[in-house]
Amino acid sequence: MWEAFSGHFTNMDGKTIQRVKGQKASPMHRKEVLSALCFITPLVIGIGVFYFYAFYKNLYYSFTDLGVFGEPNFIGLKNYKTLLSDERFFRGLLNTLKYVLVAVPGIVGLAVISAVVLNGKIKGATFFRTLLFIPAVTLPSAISLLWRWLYNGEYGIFNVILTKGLGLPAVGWLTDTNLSLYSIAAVMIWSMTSTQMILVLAGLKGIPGVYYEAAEIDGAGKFQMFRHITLPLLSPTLFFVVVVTIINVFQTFDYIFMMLTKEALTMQYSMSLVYYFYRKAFIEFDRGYAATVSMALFVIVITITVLQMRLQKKWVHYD
Amino acid sequence: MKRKMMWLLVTVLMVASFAGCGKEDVKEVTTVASTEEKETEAAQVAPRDNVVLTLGIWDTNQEAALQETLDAFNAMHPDIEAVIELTPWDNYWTKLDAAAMAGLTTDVFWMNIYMPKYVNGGVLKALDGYIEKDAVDMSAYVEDVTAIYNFKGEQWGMPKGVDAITVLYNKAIFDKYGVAYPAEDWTYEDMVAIATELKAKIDEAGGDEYALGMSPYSQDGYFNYIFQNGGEIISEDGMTSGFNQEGNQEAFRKMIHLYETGLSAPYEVLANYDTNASALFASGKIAMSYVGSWMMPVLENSPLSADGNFGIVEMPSQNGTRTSVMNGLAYCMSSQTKHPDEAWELIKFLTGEEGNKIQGVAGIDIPALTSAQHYYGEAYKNLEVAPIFSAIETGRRYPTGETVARWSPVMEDYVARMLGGAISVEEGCAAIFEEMQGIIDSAK
Repeated sequence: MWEAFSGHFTNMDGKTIQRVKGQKASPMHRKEVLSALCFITPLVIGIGVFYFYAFYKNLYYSFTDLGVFGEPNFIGLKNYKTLLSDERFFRGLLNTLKYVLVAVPGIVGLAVISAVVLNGKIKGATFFRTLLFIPAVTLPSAISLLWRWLYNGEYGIFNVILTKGLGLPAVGWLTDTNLSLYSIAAVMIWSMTSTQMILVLAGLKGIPGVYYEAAEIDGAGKFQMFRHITLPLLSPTLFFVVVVTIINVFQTFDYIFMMLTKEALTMQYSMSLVYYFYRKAFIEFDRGYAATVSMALFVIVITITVLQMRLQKKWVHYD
Repeated sequence: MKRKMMWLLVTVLMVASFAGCGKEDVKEVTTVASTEEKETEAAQVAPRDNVVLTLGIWDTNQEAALQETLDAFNAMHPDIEAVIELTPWDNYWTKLDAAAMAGLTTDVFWMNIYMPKYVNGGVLKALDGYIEKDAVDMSAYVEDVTAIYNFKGEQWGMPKGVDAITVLYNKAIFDKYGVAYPAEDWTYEDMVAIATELKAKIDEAGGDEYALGMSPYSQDGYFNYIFQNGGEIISEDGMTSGFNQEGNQEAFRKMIHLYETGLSAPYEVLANYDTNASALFASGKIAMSYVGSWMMPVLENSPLSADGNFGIVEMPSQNGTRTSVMNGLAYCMSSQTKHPDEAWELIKFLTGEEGNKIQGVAGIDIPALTSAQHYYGEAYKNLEVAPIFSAIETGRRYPTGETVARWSPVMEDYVARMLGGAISVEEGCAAIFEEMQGIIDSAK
């Protein structure tokens, strides 16, 4: 899968069908490409309507004053000018960056560690794999509800254990403005690690065992093996996991929406850009501006992703 | 041959997937009928049904009683069939907006304080003509609720219900600590004194109850304090923000004092989904709490109520006044309806004596029709509802305006900062005034 990231396309025989420019396509080749296109047409139309058309419509709206209803009027760059001096937008951006800086290393790190552990010959590996995968198949809203109760200042189990069990003062997990963002980031890590762990596990399985055997013969320790064999050969998978996780965390919304009320002070210290978009579009009905916010988020995410793709050549080893 | 079969399969799959797509789109666009509606349609197979009216609502708790009302209406009008179309609150406004643009709204629908934007968008049909033609006595309804739905000199909605704020108290806690119940004509100072006594006794006994639940939300919290301290949220004509008034600052100062002295449960606790004032009160953790009358159906069924430990009293007066904020829903008619006369008949029935009797008896909403309000009182065994009606008499309507959807979140932002201690009351009110006035001005 990660090979697709580097622009290699393979047909079913495993041969790349990227042709040399100028070479005339054989009729057999043309037929193959044509039938491939036909198979993916329904999907392409779906994506075309719900992604591309929607995207360009949204881009258009960002230049209008689309509000409640009625026809949107074109107002040029006015929304973007407002955006540049919008304190709440930058607050949301700062919060989102914090989420990325905290949650992404957490998710990727935990995914790698748990995958490495599960890859080893330990008893009940399959059982633990299933257990650790459960967050991946649970709805984010269900996870948020559960954690909201765990974190509850008065009756949540964390504080009950702290105060009644250990005699420590209660912690304002979701009510302390310095802490709430990190509490929610912890929930994100808990819930998003599983999917990435499975991907890393698959990547680990793809590393031929002979390397490890050879290293063992040469007297390498476990950590050296990890650093010099596992990491480089895992790097395509890791790259994919990092890129996808960054994109996902930039778009985080459900956890924040479910765990904090809009009247809570901590919401202002924890709201993400997508939450701000939601507030503008569905609470304030200021949809033109909401489109602008979403476009800003798009630009940020795509810049970071493109940057990562460029650095791919430096970071990732493909064989 | 194999290749031809593949092509055939692909074509069939494509056609099937598009057909499936189409059906799904149609499903999403057409009305979501309740199961009762299907039963009603099956039961009333009168061949003369030639007008179908749709009623848009959002509250599942009220659906059964409203269906009963529609059944009665349909029985009275053999040539009309009214059905409910319920859209959950989270999607109601989005769907209404989308439907308005597409010309597919229901004939009649619930409306709240967001009404001005719909009037400006041309979505509603003014009802003055019908009111006059049928000589409907508008003074029979709670005046402040009627006023909410009067905009730019025309009446756009018929009042459905009214909700008011009172103080509920937990007799069991009062008895446990030996404190006297609140008196009917108590003042804010009385409340502070009672709460102080309670808190002292609770602390002494090592209990974990709170004396007071001062809600940090607008309707059951600070709007009332603002009114009672001579402040304003927005001017009568909706053109000026009221947050430059001293009364507003005083209101917040009083609330913060309650939080800081520990008389009330802390702001952070009450600003939570799970531990808001009503929830904590219902679980017996708060001795006195400001609660909205919309919580009555929930509280009626709580253990607190079954044990007869429910006390209810009007809010304590501040500066000699108990003015509280009132709100109420209304029935509006779509400007796009093909059957305005029939839609008016439905609205008239729903807001008339019969419709209000059904909703009052079911206890789903306090009728805005004053003569029908006594039915609501009969619906509640464990609750004394008289204080709610007293609050309605002295209440003022929920502040609204054309841009309410835009300045409400701004106001809530700064209120959160004030109550949470991040900024001073002076700074907060000044900031609200500046931004709110800016929003109001930009819409002119």
